[in-house]
Amino acid sequence: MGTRASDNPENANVGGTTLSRRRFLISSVAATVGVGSLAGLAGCGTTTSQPKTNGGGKSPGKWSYGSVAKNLGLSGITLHAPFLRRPGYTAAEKLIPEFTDETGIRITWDWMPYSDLYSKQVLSFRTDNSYHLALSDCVFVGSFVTNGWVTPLKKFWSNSEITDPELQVHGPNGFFPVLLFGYGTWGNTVYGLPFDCYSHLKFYNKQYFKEAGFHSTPSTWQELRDVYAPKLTDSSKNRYAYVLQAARNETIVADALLVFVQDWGGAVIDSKTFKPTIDTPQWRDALEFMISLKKFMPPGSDTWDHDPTVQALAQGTVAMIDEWSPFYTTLTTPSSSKIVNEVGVGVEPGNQLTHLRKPAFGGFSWMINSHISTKEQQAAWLFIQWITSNKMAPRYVEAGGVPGRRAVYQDRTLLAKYPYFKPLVESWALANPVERPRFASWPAVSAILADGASAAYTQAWSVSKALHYMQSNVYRTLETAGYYSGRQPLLQ
Amino acid sequence: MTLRRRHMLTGLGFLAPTVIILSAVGLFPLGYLIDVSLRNYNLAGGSAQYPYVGMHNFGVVLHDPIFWHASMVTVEYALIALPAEAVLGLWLAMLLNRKGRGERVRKLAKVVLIFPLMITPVVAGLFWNLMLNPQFGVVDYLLGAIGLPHLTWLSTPYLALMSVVGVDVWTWTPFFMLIFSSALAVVPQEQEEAALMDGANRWDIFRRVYWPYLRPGFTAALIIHSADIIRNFGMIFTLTNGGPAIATQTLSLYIRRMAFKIFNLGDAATMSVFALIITIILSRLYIRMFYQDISAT
Repeated sequence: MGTRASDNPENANVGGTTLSRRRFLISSVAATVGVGSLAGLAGCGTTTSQPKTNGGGKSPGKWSYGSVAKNLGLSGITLHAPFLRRPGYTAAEKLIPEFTDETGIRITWDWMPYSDLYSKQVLSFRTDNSYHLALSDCVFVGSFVTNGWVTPLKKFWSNSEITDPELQVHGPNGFFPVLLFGYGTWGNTVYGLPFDCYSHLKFYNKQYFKEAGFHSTPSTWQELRDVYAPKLTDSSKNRYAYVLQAARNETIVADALLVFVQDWGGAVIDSKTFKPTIDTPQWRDALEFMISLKKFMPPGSDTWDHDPTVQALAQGTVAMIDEWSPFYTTLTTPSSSKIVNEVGVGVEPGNQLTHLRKPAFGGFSWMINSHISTKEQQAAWLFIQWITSNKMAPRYVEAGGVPGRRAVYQDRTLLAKYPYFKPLVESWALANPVERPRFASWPAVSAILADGASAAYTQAWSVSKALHYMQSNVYRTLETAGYYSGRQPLLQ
Repeated sequence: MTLRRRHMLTGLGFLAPTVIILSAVGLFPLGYLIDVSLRNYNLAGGSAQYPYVGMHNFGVVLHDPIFWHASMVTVEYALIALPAEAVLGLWLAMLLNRKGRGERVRKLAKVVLIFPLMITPVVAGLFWNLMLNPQFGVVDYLLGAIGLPHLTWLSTPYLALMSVVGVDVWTWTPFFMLIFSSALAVVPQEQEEAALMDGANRWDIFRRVYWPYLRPGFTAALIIHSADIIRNFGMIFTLTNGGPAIATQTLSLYIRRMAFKIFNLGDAATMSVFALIITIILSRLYIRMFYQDISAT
């Protein structure tokens, strides 16, 4: 902390100016404990005013994306990327023509559901490198980096010729530290810049809450189940209080199981030994609590992914959900929602007994494929800077996206217009970016957790059997991967 | 070159294309599969080297409870679906093979009954997924209309498996019906008449006259559809995606998950080898149990 990045580009990326996990934790604690106002929160953890990351000394006025693309012969290059069918990418789709007009660099993309995102990219990296831009979920970072599929960004931002003089990665005008660490950093090196930024938020139907006599969201899970849910459930009217996303994939793990496990004080692995800590009372209580909520959910919702869950709220079937922040756009768009003017937003509840409140953390950053040509990498770097820039952030918000730039969340006009801003920033201050370990073995671990949690949730297995299954198989997976023999560094 | 040698070379020349093509499409993939099953082959494992690990993957797979669960789900699915399809297919074939009035109706029924067989498995899965939806599906609507309770077909473990079996029966019964119909069409009428004159009852006629003609086709249908059940992917993927939990995760869905979600191709290839062995054993078993050349009767 306090180190000032000099013109030495390395300083932009390592040591004091790069976000270490420790620094992030300090930042988060400072934000949570000491800062009440949103403005204060936005400034948390930034004792250093970060300079622009490139040290070029060129006048900002002379630098433009168009001139760089032209001078370096990048115009005419086509970059291919994976795009999720989610609001943040529809927003990007609206903005990208401007980038192409300015630079001559074309961006093409494949639409895909989240469930295909990892597999399609892995197959691309292992075969034809068809994706120049990698879209990294927070849990893909370890896999992408340790396999050597993405390149550190210092390679580019140390080159003033191709780096926007106004690019700021750290500091008050940079990215939220938790996001830069969670989606883009591995072993103190930045590989990606946050683009589509998530935290779970409590979305609710204000009219239903009002009818039931509630004027705020439940602050604890116990309050949700014991006070709110009974009053908000009326199955004769096909109206239910709540629904969890429980599809047997990353969804049930990230959006349901670990939400409760964290608030109940559990973790997937011991942070020092990397041994699984699953077959524990915390996990048992968390899983049992999660199952106890089912009686307030629509029948048949055991296999729902994000879309049916969001639609259940949007169509008035359920009174509240906990969902990723960008779905605010879906809920407030008339073509996809019946409750456009009734959408309330709050922070995800915590646990009354443990006093822990750690909203689910997720999101995506853009990274650069390490196996494409230098010119393609330079073009990709221009695009990543542009789409994640401070300048584009307000427009990305207006188009339906959720950026990771701190400055945009202090814009008074936007704050007034988007009620999810305040709870989102609060949630990021509370979140744990390694709630899901980000190592290369995560997809295998996640599949085991999904199987166990889903089996217990649908009552195909007892909670004990599910916990035992998850514990033993996660151990076996990590042992085979080499985490206990010293073959793998204990990084998450 | 002697004439004998020339004949031999000519023979080899004619055989070569067939041998080469069969090797390319059959033996090479099989050899590659076995090769991968003997390696630590993880596409996302941090290394582009895939060293040989001997029979290690076979040990890992045999100790994997989800593999055993998937195998048991596949067996349960087959044990319910195959007899149901065979009995229904036979019943329909006998109905449609009756002589006498209503020939046009029977021909029309044959065409209509074949429709499910013509639908792509993925489409069949999606179609039934919508029909069985508890919120807006027509099946629950009809159940409600006659006063029966709503059922969560695809999110209750046992009902989900029964739904998979039901869609399979809906799709494959026409196949059995066709096989049996074609067999029944060649049963000599004199044999049936002679049996009737000898005082045989309907069961005796079926057992002694029809069944010998039905056996070869029945064996072929069992082999084909058993192999299909083991590799059935599209219909289950779109109907339940193996859920809820792992209630309908058959061997093929688990192999796909291991290969393209976890990218452990070594374990996935090992499971495929086991699936292949099961298919071969079942085929031999069916031939031993049911097959008998019609001339031997």
